[in-house]
Amino acid sequence: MAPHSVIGKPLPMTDAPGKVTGLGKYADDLVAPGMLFGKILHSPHAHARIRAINTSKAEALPGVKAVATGRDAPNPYGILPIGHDECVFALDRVRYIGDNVAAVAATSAEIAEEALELIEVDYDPLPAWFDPLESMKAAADWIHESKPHNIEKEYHHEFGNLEQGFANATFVREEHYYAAEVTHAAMEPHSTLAIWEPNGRLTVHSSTQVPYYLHRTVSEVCEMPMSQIRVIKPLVGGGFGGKSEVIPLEVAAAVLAKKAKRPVKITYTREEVFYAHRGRPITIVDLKVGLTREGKISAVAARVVQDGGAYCGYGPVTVLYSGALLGAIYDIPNVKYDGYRVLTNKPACGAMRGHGTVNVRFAFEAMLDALAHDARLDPVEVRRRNLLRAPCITVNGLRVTSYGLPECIERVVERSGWAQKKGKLPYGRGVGMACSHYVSGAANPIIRSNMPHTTVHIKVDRDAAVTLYTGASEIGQGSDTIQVQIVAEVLGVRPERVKLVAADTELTPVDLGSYSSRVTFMAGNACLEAAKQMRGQILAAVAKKFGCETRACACASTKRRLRRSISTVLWWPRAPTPRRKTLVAAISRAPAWARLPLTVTARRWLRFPWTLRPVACTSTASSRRTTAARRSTP
Amino acid sequence: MTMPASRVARPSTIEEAVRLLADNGPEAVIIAGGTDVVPNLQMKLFAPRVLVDIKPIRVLQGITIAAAGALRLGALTTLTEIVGSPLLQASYPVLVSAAATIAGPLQRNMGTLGGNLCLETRCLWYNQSHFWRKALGGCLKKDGDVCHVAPGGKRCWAAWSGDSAPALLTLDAEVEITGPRGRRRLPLAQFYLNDGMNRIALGRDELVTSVYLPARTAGRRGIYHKLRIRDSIDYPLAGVAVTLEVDRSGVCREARVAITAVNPAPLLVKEASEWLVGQRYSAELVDRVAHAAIRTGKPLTTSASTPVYRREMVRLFARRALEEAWKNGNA
Repeated sequence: MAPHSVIGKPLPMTDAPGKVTGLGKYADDLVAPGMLFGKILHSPHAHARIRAINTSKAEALPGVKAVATGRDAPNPYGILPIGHDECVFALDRVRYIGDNVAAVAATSAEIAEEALELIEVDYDPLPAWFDPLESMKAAADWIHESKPHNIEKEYHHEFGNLEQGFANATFVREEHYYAAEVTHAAMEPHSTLAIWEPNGRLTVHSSTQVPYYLHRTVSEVCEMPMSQIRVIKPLVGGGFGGKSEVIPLEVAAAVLAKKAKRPVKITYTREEVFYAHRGRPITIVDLKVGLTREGKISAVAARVVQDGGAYCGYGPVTVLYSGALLGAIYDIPNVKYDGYRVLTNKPACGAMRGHGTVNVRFAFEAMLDALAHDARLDPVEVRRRNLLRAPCITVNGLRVTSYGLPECIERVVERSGWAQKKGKLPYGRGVGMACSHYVSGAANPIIRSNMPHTTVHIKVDRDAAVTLYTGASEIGQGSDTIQVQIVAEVLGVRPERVKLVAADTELTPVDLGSYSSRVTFMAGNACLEAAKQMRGQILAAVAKKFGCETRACACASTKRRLRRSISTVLWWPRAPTPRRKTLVAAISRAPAWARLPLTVTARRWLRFPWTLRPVACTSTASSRRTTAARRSTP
Repeated sequence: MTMPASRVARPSTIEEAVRLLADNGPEAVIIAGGTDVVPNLQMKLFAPRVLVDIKPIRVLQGITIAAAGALRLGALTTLTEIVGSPLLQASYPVLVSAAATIAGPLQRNMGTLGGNLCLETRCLWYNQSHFWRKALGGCLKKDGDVCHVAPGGKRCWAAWSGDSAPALLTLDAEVEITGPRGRRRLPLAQFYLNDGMNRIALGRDELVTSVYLPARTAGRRGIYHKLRIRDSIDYPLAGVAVTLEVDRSGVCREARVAITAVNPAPLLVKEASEWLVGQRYSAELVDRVAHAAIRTGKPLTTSASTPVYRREMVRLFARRALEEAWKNGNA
């Protein structure tokens, strides 16, 4: 394979200039003519029935343009098809302090806040559940009537023969672990600007990782066809999972805008970010692991209780991952998992970095150290003795195609100075090790369908511009940059030449969102496919024009690194950035490349656009489904 | 979070400011740097009709030499000025040491010495948004009748959370207050009332105009240590200031130890002066004084950090500060 000219090179991120100069716009930077300020009324009770809501005083306050309650948007929603248990505003019951009761759109934030004070809500408090273990025992006053004993979801898996596994073990330990709740605290608090257009359409600008799911949800809640709704993701100041499902303010802004027939912006205070939450749940792990005399793990049994908060969110996936990944990183012949996702009267948990795996992994790795101690083994050694041999399928059906862990461990041992440090540092200092892994790529779409997970369009027009239309959501992780790099690499253009239009449902095709480390894999593969198709069409046209074979043609922006058999080169002019201008001039004065052997004489250099008829200029590709890690369980 | 709608008055003289305060009574709040007042206004802890912005009052600015070699610090002297003052660095290092730890550079640029001496007391149950407090039902200090720190009690335990005050206590500083009846000077120790609700001896119609540092404490060795969650910005959760005068033979001639953030007032550790004067350094003596410091402190559940931890940190800081001041001179 020819060496890459763009991929793997340290390039400035495509969105960096806007961010560092302040020209880039985050959702809260956006304004629209006639824009109103939205504020949400939150529940002061952890669990209560709503007897009545009176908004008349708030509506009468000068400057208030709309007041919305549950009756304005009663359709339930949720990120998982099995978990449509949230309404944008509570219909008859509030389930945590901070739950959404009503919202006001007014001509200033001050008036909106004042109006919230004028909304009268008659609450009938109910017993509230704060501890997941207590909540599971609840005989009445369940948080959702449809979820008996406040259990949102439970999983019971057993693979292999657990009894035999523990019988084979020389060392067996049972430990109890508790991991606290964490929230993402992205630097940018959530913000949404919903614009009601005079033609009856709705445009929603929102700080989200998942414009597509937001698009669907706004459609369901506002009872408008998706075609009448446009979702745009501006710059996003960090997500980490906290913007990977629809957050109440996004729908609230849309409902208010529709009701007021005006643009409405809501930006959460930092405090409200914590009420919206969707962070990593409290996880209580009871773990039993057996180790043979040889230091091989023979059996693992885990009981995991997760404190999910008041709504479903991603919860069933969190607790599934907690168990599904238990059996994967090491060679474990027998594994049993009992996982419970429990509802409590607290802000809802969700996906956060290493979704579901982190807390149980912490418990497991701590346990492995304790067992290594029992077996008088070095913590590194016990891990070495339990490695998988990839490619393989683990006992719980996870397909491992590549592994890398043995090399990783050896590198860490070497570079940490493990042998010199372990157990030899002064009091209060030490070295330790733990291994972790996670599922990337999101093999299954959240809403099951056979449609592609991602689609990109590439346009090359007579202006010699390459434009990539992608639904993928840049949230600071570099997804825009990597897609530009891939397209530039394949088409042989410099990355500055590739214009990118991203995450605007009116212009860009569907991408499922930025979660599960899926964008480079999914959207990246789509970019690769589309760019190859585009290159094929262009080169076919070039070949036809010059009467040569397609495989003798190539696209390039530099005059190096071309196979000798290439006779015709489509040369993309360099993008006229200020820095490059001098470079272009220098080249034209002293064409060093022209003197390179083997390159020029036999080759024709074409400047784009050349005088051909325009070629078909849109190309679509969809990614293949990942086989990296397909789950065995639904 | 929005600010309450207040009128901003900008007096240019002390007399004008006093008149505004007297005219508006409890409806007026003084604002200088705003680093304490503004977040509290956003949390709707108070909603004054008038904000009296004293920044234009020139005479409240700057560091000058006063009668009898004392140093006068105007109430509007910024914390950044204090940190950068060569005079203070040379003569009153403990104050520089403390001021350098207040919040972050941005807040020190805006925040003033007078403001730092008049901070609101702080508590986990008080420094919260309007919504949060409403959901809780308020507390003794604001909108309620229950103290969540000491339920059943009728006293507010909100913690004094300033850094400059303990340092100034160890320098025997005096505070000058101006009101309708003219000027008065008060030893700083008497300025603090050790009551979370009524924290300072300042009338509604008065303002702090200056701080005086006596000549006799100039040149004392001194250092300040504080506990906070984020070292870049936070209020103290415990703090200890120490000044010592040690003669050539290593005998202590004068000593002050003050603690902060563990009571509703910054407090001098009384035993410290008695026990240390006339003594040479010994680890045992330092331990004993450190123990006296934690007996003076009464940390309660006013912050996210536990009282036990904060007490132990008072002991540690007292020991460390005494050792450093004694052995190394000015740190």
